[in-house]
Parts: sequence; C-alpha cells; structure tokens
Amino acid sequence: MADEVAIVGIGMHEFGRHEGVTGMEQGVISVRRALADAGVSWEDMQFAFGGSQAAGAADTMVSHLGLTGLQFINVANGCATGGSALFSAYNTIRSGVFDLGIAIGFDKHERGAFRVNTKASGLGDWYGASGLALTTQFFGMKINRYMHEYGISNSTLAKVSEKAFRNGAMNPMAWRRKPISEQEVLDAAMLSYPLTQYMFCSPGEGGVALILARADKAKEYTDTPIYLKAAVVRSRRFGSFEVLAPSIALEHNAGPTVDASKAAFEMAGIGPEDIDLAQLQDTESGAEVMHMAENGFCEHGEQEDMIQRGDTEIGGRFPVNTDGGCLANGEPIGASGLRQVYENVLQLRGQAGARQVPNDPQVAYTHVYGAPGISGVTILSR
Amino acid sequence: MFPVQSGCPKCTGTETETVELSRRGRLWTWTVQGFPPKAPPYVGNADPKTFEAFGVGYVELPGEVKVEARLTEADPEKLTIGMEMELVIVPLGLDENGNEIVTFAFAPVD
Repeated sequence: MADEVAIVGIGMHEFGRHEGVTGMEQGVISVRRALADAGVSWEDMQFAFGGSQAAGAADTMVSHLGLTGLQFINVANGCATGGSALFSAYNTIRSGVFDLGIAIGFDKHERGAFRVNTKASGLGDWYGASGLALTTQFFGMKINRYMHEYGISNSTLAKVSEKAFRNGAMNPMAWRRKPISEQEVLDAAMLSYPLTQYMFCSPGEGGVALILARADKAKEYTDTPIYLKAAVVRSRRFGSFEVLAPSIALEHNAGPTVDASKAAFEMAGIGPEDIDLAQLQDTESGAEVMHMAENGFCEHGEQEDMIQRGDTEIGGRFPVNTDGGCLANGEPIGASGLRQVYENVLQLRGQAGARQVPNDPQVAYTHVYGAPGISGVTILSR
Repeated sequence: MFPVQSGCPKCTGTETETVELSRRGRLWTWTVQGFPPKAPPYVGNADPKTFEAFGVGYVELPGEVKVEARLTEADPEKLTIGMEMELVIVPLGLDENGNEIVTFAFAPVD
C-alpha cells in the first residue's frame, strides 16, 4: 500500500514539573515548536485534533495561536487521548478532506497518585470510598499474577527502571535525568507490592504536537518525512483484566493491547520481526515487561532472559523506551502517547543524539495503555 | 458480573437476574496498598502518620466470577496466589455523624 500520511513536524514542551506554567501554555509552546520544525505557520493548519485530561479544552488555545477559523476538535479519551488525536488526524488526511493538520496533547496533573473520578468512570461511590479506586493496585496485581505464571523476577522489574532512568539521563526533555541503580530501585518504598516507588511513573506535565501531511506532499515541508503506516485504538473485550474493575470474568481474553497490536501489524503489512525499536507503555516497570509480549515482540516469560541480557537497551537487539518512557518522563495523560511518537520520529530521522539507536533504524512502534482498558498503537517508518 | 448491572457485557443482552455469589474462593492475585488513598473519595484512615497498609486482591469464586476486594491480611509473607479465602465484613471508618462504615473483604481461611 502506498504511503498516505507523513509526520512533517514535531514539537515538545519539556516533561516534568513547571511552576507557574499552565498545561495549556505547554501545549501552545509545543505547537509553536512543531510549526517551526516543519517550517510552516499556524495559518497553514487546516485542522487540529487536541486534548488534555486535566488542563483544559484544547480548542481554546486558538486564542493564543491565532483565530484562523480552522476546524479544531477536542479529544477526550483517557490515557489514549493523544493517540486518539493522532488517529483522528491520520484518518482525516487519509479520507482526503484535508492535506495538512496537527495533533496536540498536553496536561498538568496534581502531585501524587491519580485521583480517580469514580462517577466519570462508571463506578459506584463505594469503590473509591473503600480504597479500591487506585490504578496503582491494578498494576501491582497484574504483574504479581504475571510473575507467578511466567517466572519474572524482581531483579528484572528493577532493571527496567534502571534502564529508564539511564535513558532519561540522555534526554534533555525528560523529567527524571538522574541514573538510579537496580539496588536503589529494589530498596525504595513499596507502594503496591511487588512494585516500589522507582518502579512507578508519576503523573506530570508536558505537551507534544505533531504536524501531519499528505504523504505525496510531505517533501514540501521536510527532507525527512516519517510515514505513518498504522494508527489503531482498541477498547477492552469481555474477559480481559483491566484497570479499575470491580470484577473479572472467569473466561480469559488477552486484552486491548493484543487486539490493537494485531490490527496495526495487519494495517502496516509487516510483523513484529520488522520493528527496529519500540516505545511501550511503562506505567510501571512490570507493564513494560508484559507489554513486550502482548505486542507480539516475544513469548510470555521470554522477557526475563531478554532483559537480564540487555536486549532492550539502546544498543541491544530490540531497544525499548529509548527516551526513558513514562518512568523517566512522567505521565501527562494527554501528551503521553504523542511523546512516544515524537521519540520515534527523532530516532528514525537519526536526530536522537546521545540516545540514538545505532544502525539506522527504519521502522518503529508505539503502544499506549490506560484506563479503563484502552490501547493505542502506531507504526512509523522512514 | 459484580456488582449487579442492567446489561450483559458479554452478549450485550439486557435480561439479567441477580444471583447470590459464593462466600468462599481462591486468591487469584493480590497486592498491598502501601500508601494512603486520597480522601475523598477514601473514607478509611488516610492520615500518613497512622495509615496502615491493607491487602487488595481478586478472589476467584468457583464457576462464578473473580471479585475485587480488600483483604484482611497485608503481610506479603502470608499471602499466596491460590490460597483459600472467605468473605467477611470489616469496619472501614466513620461517617460525618460518627456512625461506623463497614465494607466487604476476604480473609484467609485457616
């Protein structure tokens, strides 16, 4: 299939904590950086999809960027907000309605674990009242079961965090840029057994914007267009084990990540063996481990040897979360999925600096997962 | 499904009936809540100085469903996947009038 859509400009606002800067302002800055990267102006944007979970309605940013009258649609889709904005922009161009537009995600969350709005999540008040409305519990329980079934060790969980902070130290946009050793990770406070403080990402702040163009016009904007081969979002099916679930069916379904991954590979016409590097949702270190298998990059249980061997390091056989992932960048929900795409564009352009994956990577993969059981996948190629 | 709802998430049908679940099952997975949940919505003790960690798990009720609940045990050394668990009612906190609020939980069967 001929390429239909290309990413021709990327912009990011540093992830982390930014006193006195609103989430919306961080979104605006990321838009301006993306426009500059593509060499275009806001007036050239024919459409926008944008969203945040906690930092306001994205379309109000036109009063800062310019009242050009463009079609601007707000996206609110939980942890897949950024991925959904990209999916919508991708399909808007594929449909032929517009040639050039932008996907925007930004956020700013309060400190500490996410405060779950049980009503908005379709749950009774009793659920939060009794101390069950914490996404962290789900991640602890999922990896605990997984370790029991597939023999993943605590050392492997800690090595995932150690890698994330080491990669983050090489990323000027990352929040956590100080390396932390495997032993320090293991010795940190236990938040949700078996996961310690340094195995979890934190809600944070930041923004990302991506400019998309029709593939046959991409070279008008950049010498290094990156083509979007697939963009897929999937929700959960009956029998899967998801975050914020008062009960789970006895019958088993593999979950939305497996569904989204399969659909994305089918759409791109390639398989997991063709992927040179991946950004996988690492809400906590166990999630990265499980998502390696759920996305088709290994069999369940193989991660133990792969990670102990260093396969997922930047210089390894299959680099994962080269920018430090959610663990080092934090998770501003609206921007998180777009950060993964931003990193893959840098890697495929060969512009990732100290953390550049060697040997000229050609194809890269992103995967985002979150409440209430939703996954988004993209596949990019040069 | 637990709790009761009006539609079936498997077949999308709307003719549902309420059935009583077993009081006993096996621990399918678990964790320990090691920091105070944000209050509200939490009505239990959220004071970081006196907060006590509590267990949370899914208990597989044979032939029925896996139910998420608090566990009366919070010591990782005493929790094992597959162990037998039984339903209990435990105190959780006080409402604004000082009345005790209770909730359901599962306790290991000795």
